Amino acid sequence: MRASREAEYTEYVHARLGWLRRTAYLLCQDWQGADDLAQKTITRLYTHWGRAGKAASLDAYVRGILVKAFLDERRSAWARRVILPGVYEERPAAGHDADMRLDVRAALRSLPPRQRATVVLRYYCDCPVEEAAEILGVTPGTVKSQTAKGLTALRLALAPVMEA
Amino acid sequence: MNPVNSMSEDTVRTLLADVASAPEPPSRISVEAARKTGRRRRRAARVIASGGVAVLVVGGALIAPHLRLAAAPDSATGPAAGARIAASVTPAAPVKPAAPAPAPTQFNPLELSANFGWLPSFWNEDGASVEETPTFTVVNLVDGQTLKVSPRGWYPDPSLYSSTRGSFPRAATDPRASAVNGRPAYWDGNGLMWEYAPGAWAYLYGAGNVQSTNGRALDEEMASKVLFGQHQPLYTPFQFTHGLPTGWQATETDSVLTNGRLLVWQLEAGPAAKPGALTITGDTHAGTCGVQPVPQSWVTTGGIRWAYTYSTGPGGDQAACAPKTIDGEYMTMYYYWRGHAQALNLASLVRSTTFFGPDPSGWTTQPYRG
Repeated sequence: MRASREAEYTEYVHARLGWLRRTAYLLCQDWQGADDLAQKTITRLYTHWGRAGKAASLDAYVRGILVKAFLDERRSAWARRVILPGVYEERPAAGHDADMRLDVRAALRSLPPRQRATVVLRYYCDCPVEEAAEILGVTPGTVKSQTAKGLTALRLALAPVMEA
Repeated sequence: MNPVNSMSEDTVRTLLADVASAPEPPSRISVEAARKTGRRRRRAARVIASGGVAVLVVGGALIAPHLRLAAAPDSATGPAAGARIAASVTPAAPVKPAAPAPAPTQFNPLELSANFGWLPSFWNEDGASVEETPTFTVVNLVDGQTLKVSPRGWYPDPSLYSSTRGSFPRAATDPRASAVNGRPAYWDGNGLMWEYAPGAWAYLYGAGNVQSTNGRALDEEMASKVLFGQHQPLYTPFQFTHGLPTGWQATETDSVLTNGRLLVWQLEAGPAAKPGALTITGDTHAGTCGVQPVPQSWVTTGGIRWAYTYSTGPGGDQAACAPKTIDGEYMTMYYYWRGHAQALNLASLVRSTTFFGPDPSGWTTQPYRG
């Protein structure tokens, strides 16, 4: 890769790493996994940097890599066989907001990976149905149904909290 | 109102944003590591695409399915399967290992010095990228597992692709691992560091195995079967037929394993005072012909017109690149030794370089004569 393109890549990654990491955290639900996933994503982005430059939206392209990497990981033999415990200490701040956050995380964790990815794409990344469909490799109809199922599951899981 | 129905889409957005804004621990993400691995994977992907199934021959032994885990069926799922792996890699009754052969004080970058001797069934060496220097060997599997070995008197730097003189300094503080073939070993937070021969260290890391009991058992098994003292040749697609200046030697090679051969895509050479003075690289991507400003002259050889540029004045940089592919690769040569009287004329080197064609079976294990 030419020096100028290396510089572009580095500049982009540094600028968007925080966003990438937080999205990965929503998908993985732990920082250890999120960092691994973000690392994998920026590595893949490097190998496809030329193609990425031609994408209509670079952020959308990167989001695609991230979600596909997440789903691949869940499918891969290694992920199925070895469950890596997190090494980061979870240190939530005390208080109502922290409790709520834990509940939301538990609810998200209970969603199957594809459903979780759909919800994150639609409601955190604000992806239109068509873009989410392209990233997930499914039809727009499937995105709608996965979204509906995911939302219902979240609502059910969080209902007691929301009532309180 | 039923709260299940009352949670609107906007509420979900707010909740997700709130979770994502949770306090973050320090990041372990490394952009530099991504670039380095990305470069290697581009090579690996290209070679896999043009090659086939690879089986590595090391010292006459095959790294083949019979060496892989027998008790890890493809249908295995969940923690129970993980437990089966752990069970299958439990070492047999301890046997006093034979004393290891002394490690060399430096490696030959034109040979593979060490390699995995055993891999679990879900990994293989197809497309593995290999870096060889006098002070370290790295074998990086496509899946991320990496073996880094140093010669006697050095230890692999855990954070960089390099070696450092001396003994692993954190041996005094890092948790002690089970001995590997009777020799001391340590978990350093990312992988397993062990002294494979007196004063010589090896390091296994990269796949996150260290984070779990099963993974650590896997690392220990792989470490115990690493092959040292190897002399597997590397194959280069070119040869400097007039040799290199007196006292120069190969100082680094980068290659990718395909069809049982390590195929070099980058070679560095130089004298002891400037080990990486010369670099020759092949790349399938156009645009690496980074000769700036406009070439000062052209070198035509083998029907290819190379752009050639050089610094003015005594010593300095020279660069030559082929704007067209040679056997499918864009070749670039750099000579960097700013401020030093030039010991090498790059234009002459280009003219005296022979290319052996796209078929690796015709490549050479001697990239330069003399």
